[in-house]
Amino acid sequence: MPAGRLRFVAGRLLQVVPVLLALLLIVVLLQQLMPGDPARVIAGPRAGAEQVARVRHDLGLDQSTAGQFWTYLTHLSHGDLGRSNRTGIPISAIVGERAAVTVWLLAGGLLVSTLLAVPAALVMALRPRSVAARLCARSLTIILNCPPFWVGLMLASVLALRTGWLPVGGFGEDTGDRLRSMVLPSLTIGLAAMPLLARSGAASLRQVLAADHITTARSLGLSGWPLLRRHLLRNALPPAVTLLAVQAAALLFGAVIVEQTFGLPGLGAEMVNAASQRDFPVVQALTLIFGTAIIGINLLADLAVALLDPRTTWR
Amino acid sequence: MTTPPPLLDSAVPVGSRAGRAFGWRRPAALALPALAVLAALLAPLLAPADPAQLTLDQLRPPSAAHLLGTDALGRDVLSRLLFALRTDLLLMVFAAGLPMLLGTLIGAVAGYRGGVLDAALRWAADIFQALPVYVLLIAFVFVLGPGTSSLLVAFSVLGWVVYARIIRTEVRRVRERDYVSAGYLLGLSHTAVLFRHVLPNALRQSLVYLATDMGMALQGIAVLSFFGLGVKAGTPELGTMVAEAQVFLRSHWWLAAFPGLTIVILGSSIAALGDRLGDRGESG
Amino acid sequence: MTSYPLLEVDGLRVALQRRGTAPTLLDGLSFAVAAGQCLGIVGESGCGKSLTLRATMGLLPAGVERTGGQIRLSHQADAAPTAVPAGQAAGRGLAMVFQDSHASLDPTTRVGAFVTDIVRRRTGASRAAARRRAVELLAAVGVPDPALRFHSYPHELSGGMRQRVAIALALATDPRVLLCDEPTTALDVTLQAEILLLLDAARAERGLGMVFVSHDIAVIRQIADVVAVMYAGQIIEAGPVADVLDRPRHPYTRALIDAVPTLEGPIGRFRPIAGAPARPGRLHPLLPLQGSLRPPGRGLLGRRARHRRARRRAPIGLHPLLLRPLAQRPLALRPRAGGHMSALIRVHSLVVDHPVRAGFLRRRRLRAVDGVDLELGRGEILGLVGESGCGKSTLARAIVGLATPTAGGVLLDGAPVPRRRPPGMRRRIQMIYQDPGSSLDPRRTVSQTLAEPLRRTVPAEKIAHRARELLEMVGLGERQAHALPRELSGGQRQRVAIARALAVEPEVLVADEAVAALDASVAGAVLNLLSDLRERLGLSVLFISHDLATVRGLCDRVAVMYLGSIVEEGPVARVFARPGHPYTRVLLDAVPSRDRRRSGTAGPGPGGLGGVGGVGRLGGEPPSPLDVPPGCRFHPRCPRAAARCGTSEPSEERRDGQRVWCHFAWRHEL
Repeated sequence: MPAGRLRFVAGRLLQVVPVLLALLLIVVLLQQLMPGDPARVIAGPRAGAEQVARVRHDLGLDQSTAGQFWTYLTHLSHGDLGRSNRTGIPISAIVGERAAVTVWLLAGGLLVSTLLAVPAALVMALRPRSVAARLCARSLTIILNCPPFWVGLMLASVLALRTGWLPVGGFGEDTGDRLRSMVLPSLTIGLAAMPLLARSGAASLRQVLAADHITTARSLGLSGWPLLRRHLLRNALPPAVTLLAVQAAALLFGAVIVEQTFGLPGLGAEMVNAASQRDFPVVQALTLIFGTAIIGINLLADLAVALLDPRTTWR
Repeated sequence: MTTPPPLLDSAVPVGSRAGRAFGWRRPAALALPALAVLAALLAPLLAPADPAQLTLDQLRPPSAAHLLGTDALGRDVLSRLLFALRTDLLLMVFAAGLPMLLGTLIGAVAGYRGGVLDAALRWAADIFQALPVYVLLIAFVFVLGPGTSSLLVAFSVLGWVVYARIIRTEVRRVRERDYVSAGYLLGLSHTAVLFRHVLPNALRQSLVYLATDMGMALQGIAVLSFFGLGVKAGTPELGTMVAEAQVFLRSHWWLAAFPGLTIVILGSSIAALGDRLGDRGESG
Repeated sequence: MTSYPLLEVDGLRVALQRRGTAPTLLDGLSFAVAAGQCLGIVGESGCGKSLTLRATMGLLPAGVERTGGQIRLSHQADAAPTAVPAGQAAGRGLAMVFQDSHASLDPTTRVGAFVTDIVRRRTGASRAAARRRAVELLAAVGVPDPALRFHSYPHELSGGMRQRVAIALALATDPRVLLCDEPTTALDVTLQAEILLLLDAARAERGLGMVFVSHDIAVIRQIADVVAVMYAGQIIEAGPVADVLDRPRHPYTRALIDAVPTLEGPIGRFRPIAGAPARPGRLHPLLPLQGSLRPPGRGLLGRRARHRRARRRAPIGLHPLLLRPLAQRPLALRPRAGGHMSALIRVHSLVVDHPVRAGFLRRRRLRAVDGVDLELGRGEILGLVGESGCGKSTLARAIVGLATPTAGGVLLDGAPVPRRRPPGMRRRIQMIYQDPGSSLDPRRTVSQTLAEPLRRTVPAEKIAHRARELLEMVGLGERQAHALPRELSGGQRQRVAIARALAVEPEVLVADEAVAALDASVAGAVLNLLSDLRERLGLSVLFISHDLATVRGLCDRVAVMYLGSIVEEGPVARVFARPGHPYTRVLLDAVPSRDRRRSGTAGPGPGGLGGVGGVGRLGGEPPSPLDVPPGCRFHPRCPRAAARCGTSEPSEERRDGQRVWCHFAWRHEL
């Protein structure tokens, strides 16, 4: 590997450290932003002074900020994410039980959005002046502005309630039911993620198509598949990968919304429920998990780009 | 000396169908948001009924008396929609506008001056890019407690970075243009150069983004309210209306459809406005 | 034996794709090229000369289409050329070399792999054989260590090297005809000479037909046998080089030649062509757009109205052909140099460093300017020449106060300037920039641009009047006052930039490649303007340029810069007639002549170009300022270098007001 790329990889890995620390800091300090006494708020309005004191101790709120940070880190290093306020169940158990649903949903969403976005991007990049391209552009604007929870409800109303083909919500018992119950949520999340993907994909492809070096390649008699494989894709891929990673954050948020809308027992639904029931440790832990996932995805994407593009070097 | 690209770009619409379409599409793009603002402003006059008035006329389909029907508590849906527009438009403008203001100032100064401030901004932007901003939005609103002010604080804290990053990039691009150093040599102070020559030429990208962001803010407000984390219960709000209608989806689909459609139309028309701005794209 | 041409282009027409009356860009172009022959196509920017090559290759940009004509290519020797469908000849008989080697090579493909790929595609050779052939090709175009460079990516190569690779790629398709689109325009003169030599050799050895497009008549004179002059999408004159360039029949050709400054003959005023250069599309009487080439109806109401006004008054038709030469007032050449006037600006041992990142967490300093001493007298025009990257722009920025000196400093009128110059002091030295597209605020009209600096010194009611005076001074009128920069031509924009600088009544103008982006036909007028301003206002001008002929025509004194320091300085007449430094000699020799082909070009073949004068060709490329050689910094490339040049720094030698830093000053022409 050339020195420039090696430096990039080293630099990029080092860069993750402050980001992870910042995330942890935000997660730990989140409760300090709570107006009033966090322990009081979390314990609920009917709790007695003793109960509040216990909550305060449990959450480590009686320690200094640095102390809280340290305690949280030590617990974390043992894989201990804390316990739910409401149920007392260890959060790691909740996560283990629910993560699979979210991962499947994301995979389904990614599949749907890719299937929809790639043709749209190709049409908009290759035939920018065609009626189809204009239509695509208009539809993308509209789809982008459809709130996913509403789209989910409408899809459910049309495709599930009226026909009974698909379940409206919940997560079935056997595999077949589960797959069927994933259809509408995947469709919703795919639709939500697709417009930005298609737009930026079209933009990066258009840019490569217009590049001088493509003209050079064509002047040398290259066309069709060799041109596409050797010169177009190789140049259009790095921005596309970066793009996909940037979409990860939006996709995760989509998952949160869609799980809640369709009553899927995933991490996102858990987070919303925890938030509305003021279950702080769960919100904290899930924020950390989502954050780490996104940091990881971005890191992987950047490393992949570094491998694809010989010009990468640490700036 | 190949024929310059702008010539080819702009050559397209002249005399073509698209070009003529341009004539009506632009007012149309402007008309819808304007109409929404007007409707929101005049909501007390336009609304046929008190949006909070409970009646026994519950879950009525659209009719002459109630153009969009009534909800589960017998309230007139059209009236609630108009007042909800009020809430959402106001929140939307601030939820996108405050971060823009904050981000523009920080990004412009950092981009123009460079140095430590710029490095700090780049560092912050890198971290924010890697953070689950939307998830944090939920966490923030949760921590601050539901309500409009915590919504706005959360949007500003999490949203300014994108604007700062866009403006910074543009300012750094414009700063390299010769008219900027010419302005300095002509005796203008750095502040004057920044605000008179650099910023006006650097704003376009972030205005284009603002248009998209407004739609996203609208959705964000609606979704948080949908989850019960947004505006106070009882306040007419589009997301809350969808949430309240969820239970009656099987029998009364229109209850969820109309507020959702309002969000779509409002968001798309503002975004279309932004697209126009982006298309014109004369670079400075 | 009848010999057929290799390539015939017959009645080529190209137009914008548009409903209704589409503007014609190329209007019935016909030409032919025989084996071993080079056709030069010359014309101003926008005349359609590059488009001609693109259309011939079938590689038109989006939105432009071929509407007529035929392209015929002979695939075998002694066979009549046959018609080829659009795009079918690219890589199969025709190959092209582009201007911008940075953008025209795929950044993600190793150069060797690319060449190998093209060879295999063309010949069907085995991978190993194709690799061997690729290395041969790279060696043949003068890439040093081809086996090593084989694995390089384009961004790892220098500009000259990339252009060699581009030529190797073109040759790998084994073309019959090579189309060259300004292949040397982006390169320094010394590199230009080498690439021209390379192309000429390739043509001779392979019996290639060649079409060479350039804006530079001198380059065409060196390389072409036959020349075609293009104007507004048409060939207006064509014939053997000697006929057309020595005895032009068309007044436009005459004017085009006269507009180019030379290193020979008497020094007089520059001879620009009046009016704005025409564009092919603009000649169409029904073309709905003028000036900004933007469709009406876009934008705000005010702009549209302004646009209509601009359209109405915009000239349509063949006006520049009605030649109206500017009054040829011969400039009284006063030999200013020798006895120095009082120095207005004195630069003393100036050092400017740029911090650069050399690696992960590692910083180094790039010494852009390394101990420069220079004086600029009152009312003097001093030229500063050197290759790109030699530090001349940084020196200029340090003088006006846009770059901070690391050591040394600048004296203005005998007083040292502080690190942070107060506004009043900034106004005394103004700068004219290279890029007309970036020197004016795109959102402000000309009068707004001029009003801003006036506001400080001129009472409000007199601003408009003063702005008009300034416009008049630079040869613009009321019609341009309300135009936005994009509605002006490049030359007009540079005039506005000069007017803006004059608004604060400066004592010095620093012009950094101020006419480099303009056609010679337009540049001349701007240069004459600078010269007039010096006369009328007593301005001092520091004129930075890579173009020696322009410096000769404009300046009183010249300083030659190499790798951060001055190597020679003195009166223009002396330095150009008898350069004291081998580097100056090499630079002068590398400049192609407008009026005669360099000696030894009787027949095609290597050695026909370059290699003239007492000194040989320049070896290698300029070293990086990060890695300055010890001793005389020029010695690694110097044809005259001896042992001590590598160890000891040369000291100054003076003769008749000329200063030279060389161990062998004036002794290189033996």
